[in-house]
Amino acid sequence: MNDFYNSEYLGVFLDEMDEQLQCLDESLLILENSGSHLETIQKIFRAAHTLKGSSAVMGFKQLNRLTHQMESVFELIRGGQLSVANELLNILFECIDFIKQLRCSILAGVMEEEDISALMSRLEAIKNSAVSSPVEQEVKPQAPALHILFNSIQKEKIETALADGYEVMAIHIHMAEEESMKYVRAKLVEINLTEHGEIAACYPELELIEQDDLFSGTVVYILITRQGQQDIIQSLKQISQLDSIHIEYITNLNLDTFLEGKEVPGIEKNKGSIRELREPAKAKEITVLPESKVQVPQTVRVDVERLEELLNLVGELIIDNTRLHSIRARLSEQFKNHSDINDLNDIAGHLNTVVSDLQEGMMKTRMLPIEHLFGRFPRMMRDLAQKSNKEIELRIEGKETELDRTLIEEISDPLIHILRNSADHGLELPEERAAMGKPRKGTIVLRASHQGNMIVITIADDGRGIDVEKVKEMALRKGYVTADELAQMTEKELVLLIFRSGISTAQKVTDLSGRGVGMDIVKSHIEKLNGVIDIETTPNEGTVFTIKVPLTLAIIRSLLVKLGTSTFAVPLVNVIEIFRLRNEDILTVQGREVCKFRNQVLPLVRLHRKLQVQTEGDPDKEPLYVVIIGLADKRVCLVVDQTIGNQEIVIKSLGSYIGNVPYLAGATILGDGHVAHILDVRYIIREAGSHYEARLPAASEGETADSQSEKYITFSLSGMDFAVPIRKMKEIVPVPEIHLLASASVYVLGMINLRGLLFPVYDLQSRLGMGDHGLSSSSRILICEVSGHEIGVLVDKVSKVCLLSRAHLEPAPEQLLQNSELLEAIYKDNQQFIHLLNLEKTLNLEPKRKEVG
Amino acid sequence: MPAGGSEQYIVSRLGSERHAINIRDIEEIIKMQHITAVPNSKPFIRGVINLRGRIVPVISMCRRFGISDTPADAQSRIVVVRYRQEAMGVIVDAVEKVTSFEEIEPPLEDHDTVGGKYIEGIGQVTDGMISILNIQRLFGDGESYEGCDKG
Repeated sequence: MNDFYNSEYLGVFLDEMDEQLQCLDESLLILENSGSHLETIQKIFRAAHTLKGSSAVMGFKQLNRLTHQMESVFELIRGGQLSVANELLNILFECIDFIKQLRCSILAGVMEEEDISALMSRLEAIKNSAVSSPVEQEVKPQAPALHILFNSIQKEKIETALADGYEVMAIHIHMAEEESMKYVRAKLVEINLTEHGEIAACYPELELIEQDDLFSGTVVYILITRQGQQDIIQSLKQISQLDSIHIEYITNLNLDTFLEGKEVPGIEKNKGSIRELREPAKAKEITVLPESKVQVPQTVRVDVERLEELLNLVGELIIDNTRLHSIRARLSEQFKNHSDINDLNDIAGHLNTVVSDLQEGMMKTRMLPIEHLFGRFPRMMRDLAQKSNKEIELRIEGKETELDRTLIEEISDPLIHILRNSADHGLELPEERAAMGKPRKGTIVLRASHQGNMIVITIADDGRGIDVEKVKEMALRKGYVTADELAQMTEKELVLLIFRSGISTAQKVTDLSGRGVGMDIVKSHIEKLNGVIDIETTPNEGTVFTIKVPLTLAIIRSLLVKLGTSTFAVPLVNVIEIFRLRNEDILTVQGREVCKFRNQVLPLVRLHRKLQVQTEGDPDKEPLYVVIIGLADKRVCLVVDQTIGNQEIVIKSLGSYIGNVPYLAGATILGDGHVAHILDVRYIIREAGSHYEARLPAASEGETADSQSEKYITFSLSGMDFAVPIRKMKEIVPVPEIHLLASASVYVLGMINLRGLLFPVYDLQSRLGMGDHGLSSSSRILICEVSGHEIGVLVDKVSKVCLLSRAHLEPAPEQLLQNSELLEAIYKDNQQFIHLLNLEKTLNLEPKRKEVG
Repeated sequence: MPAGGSEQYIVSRLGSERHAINIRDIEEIIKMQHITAVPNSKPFIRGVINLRGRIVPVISMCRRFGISDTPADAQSRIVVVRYRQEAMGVIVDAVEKVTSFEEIEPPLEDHDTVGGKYIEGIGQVTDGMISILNIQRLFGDGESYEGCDKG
C-alpha cells in the first residue's frame, strides 16, 4: 500500500485526526443546538479540510474521498445553499463515527479501509438536494470565487524569501459595498503595502478590476515583508472605505495549498456580521486563521515514556534532596560555628526550591486539561438522549482543570458509566418530568475541580434518584446481605450497595445500561486509582456522584506510620482520620475485632501480625493510635504504633522478582535512604471484608437515645465547659502550625493546613471575651461546619461526647450577658454546667453587638 | 561444561565454604546496608535495599542453602548481580578475590549437599576447590532448599 504506514508520521497523523474529529464533533453539536453561525461553520470546514489534506498525504484514499465529500457538504452549508437539518446532522455524525472507527482500526494495525460507498451516496444525495432547491435569492450574480494560484516564478520568489527569513503573508482586503472607485482603492492599498515590502502577487490583478462589473470587492495581496501583521494593519487602517483586513501567513507548510489553487473564502455574504464586529473594537478586524502561527503557543509533541523517565529522575532528586536535608540538619548541629555550614545551608535551601519547582514543572508537563476527556461527552449525551427519547442538557464546568494524562485515560470509563446511568436511569422521560412539575429537559452537571492534591469530579443529575427499596430488594435477592443486616443499615449504606455487582434498579436491560455491572466496574476503576467514590441521592430530586482521585499516580502524598521499627506509608488520599482508641472501645463481633467510632462500627486491623513486625513496648498500652483508611465507600481502622507525618513519596515497584506481596502496594525511599513499604489499602480493606458499617444498636450504648436528646461534644475553655452538637463536627485535630493571616478579623488566629486543605481557625476565647490562655498540650482544633463553611476553632481541651437531654436545657439568662446570642442554652444537670454554643452566631464575621445596660 | 581458562570469577565466602560467581553476572559489590524486610514474601528473600534510587531485592544465600543467617559484620557484602534484566542482591559473609580456574569439574551428583542444586561446577585452584554458583538457579523460582525455613 503505502510507505507512510509504518512511518513516524502515522502517529502524528492519528493524533491530528483525533483532534480534528473532536473539533468536528463539538462544532456539529453547536450547529445542532444553536443554529448555523459563520464561525462554527468555518471551524467545521477547516477541520474537514485538514482531514482531507492529511489523509491524502498519508495515502488513505477512501478517507480522503469521504472527507472531500463532507467538505463539499459543509461548503454548501457555508454558502447557505443547504440548511442544517436533523437528517443532515445525523449523516455527518455517522461519517465522523466512521472515521473514528477507521482511526481505531489503523491504531490496531489494520490498514484496509472499509467501504464508504453507503455514506458517500447519502452525502451525494444531500448535496444534490441542495443544488436543486432554490435557496437564497441572489440580488446580483455571484462573483466568481477568487483563486490564488502561484506560478512557478512567484513560487520560487516566495520560497527564497521564506528561506531568507522574510515573512510572507496573504492580505485579504474587502472593500465597502458602496465604494465606487474600487480600482483606485486597490491601487492605494498596493502603494501602501509597497512601503512595507514587496508585493509578489495580487489576485485578481488590479488591471482587471477596472473592467470587471462582478468584482466582489475582495483583493488578495501576497506581500513579502519583514514587518509584523500589526504594523501592516495599522498602516492600512489609514485608508478609508476598507471593510475588512485579514492577514494570513504563508509558510513552507501551507505554500502548497496555495499552489493548488486556494479559494478565497467568500466574505461577501457575511459582511453584515463583520461590520458589527468592526464597530465596537477596531482590533477585532484581525481574524486569525489557524494556519497563521501568530497567537498559537508553540508546542512540541513528546513521547510520554520520555516524560516518564524524566519524572523518575526527578523522583530520585526529591529523595536525595530529603536526604541532603537531614544530613545538613545534623551537620549544622555538629559544626554550629563553622563558616561553611552557612554556605551549605544556603545551597541546600536553594536546591530545595529548585527541586520542588522542577517537580512541579515536570508534573505540569504530564497534565492535561480535563477538557480532553469531557469534550467527548456532549456528543455521547446527544446520542443517549436520542436513543432514550429524553431531553438532556449536559452542563460541563471546570473543564480547564488539569490532571495527569494517565489519569485522564483511566477515569474515562467510570465517568462514561456514571453518565450513562444518570441519563438512562436517573433522568425521567419528558412526560414524567412534566407531570412532576420539573422542566421537561433533564440536566446533568459534570464538574471538575481541584481540592488540595486531589481532583474532585461530580456528576449531578436532577432525575428520580436511586430507589433504595429496589436496591434493598436486589441485594437481598442476590444474597449479598441478609434481611437482618439490611434492617441495620443506614440509608447511605443501602445506597452504596449499588456498587455490588448485579444490582441494578433499571426495570429492563436496554442497549444503554441496566445490566448492573456498570457500577461495579466504576468502583473497581476508582479503587485502582486510589480514589474514593460517594453517592448522595434524594428521591425525585436527583443523584450526585462524587469521585475523588489523586492528581497523579507517580508521586503521592502519604502518611508515614511506624509499626515496630519499620516505617510504612499510607497514601494520604485514603487516610480519612486519625484518632486514639481506648481498649474498652474495642469489641469482638463474629470473631473479628471492631471498634466504635462516632457511633459507627468499623473493622479493626492489627497490622503487626499481618506484616510480621514486633510491637514496640507494651502491646496493651493505651491509647492505641488508629488510622481510618477509606477506599471508595469502605472504611477500616488500622492500629499503628505511631504516626510520623506526611511526606511526598515516589511510588516504586518492588520489582517482578518479589512480585505481588499481600498488604503492600509498592515501596518508596525515605529521607534516610531506607526503603519503606507502601501499604496496599485496597487489599487491606478487601480483606477486612466489611462492606457495610453497621450502626450500633442504640441499646448497646447503655444510654437511651430518646428524641429529646442530642449528642454533643464538650470542651473546656478557660475552665468553663462548652458544647456544640456533634453533627456539626468534622474532625478534632491537635494544633498544627497556625499561619497568620494578614488583615483577618481579630477573632481569626490564622489558617491551618490540614492534608492540603486550608481551614481558618477562630479564637473562641477572645470571641467570648475571655483572656488568652495560650496553647497547651491538650489544646485541640475542632473542625466544624458552620453555615456551610468548614472552619476550625481552638479550644483548651476536648472532654467527651455525651447525650444532653433537652429536659435539662435552660435558656441563657439574657439579661446577664453582653451578647446572649452566642449561647443557645445552658445545660444544667447535677454537677454539670455546660454552655451550649451557637457557632453560627458566634463566628459570624460581623457579629452584631447587643448593648445591654 | 566450560573448560575453565579465561573466565574470571569473584570468590565469596559463606561460613567456611567458598563460592565463585562469574564476573559477567555481577554488576557491583556493595557494603552491607539497611535492608527493609518484605513481609509475606519468599523466606529466602531478606528484603529490599535502596541502590541509588532503585529498589533492589536482596536474598540471603544462607537461607537459600538452608543454614542459619550469619550475623552481618564489617566483612559482609551484598553482591549485586543481574538476573532477568533486574538487579538483585545476594548477601555473602565476605568477598575474597577475583580468580580464574584452570579446570572446572562437574558438580557432585549428590544433591543432598548444602546448596548442591545451585552449584554449576567445581573449580580447582592451587589451594583447593571452589563451588561455582549458577545465578539463574540461585534466584530461580524453583523450590528453595527444603531446610531453608529453619534458618
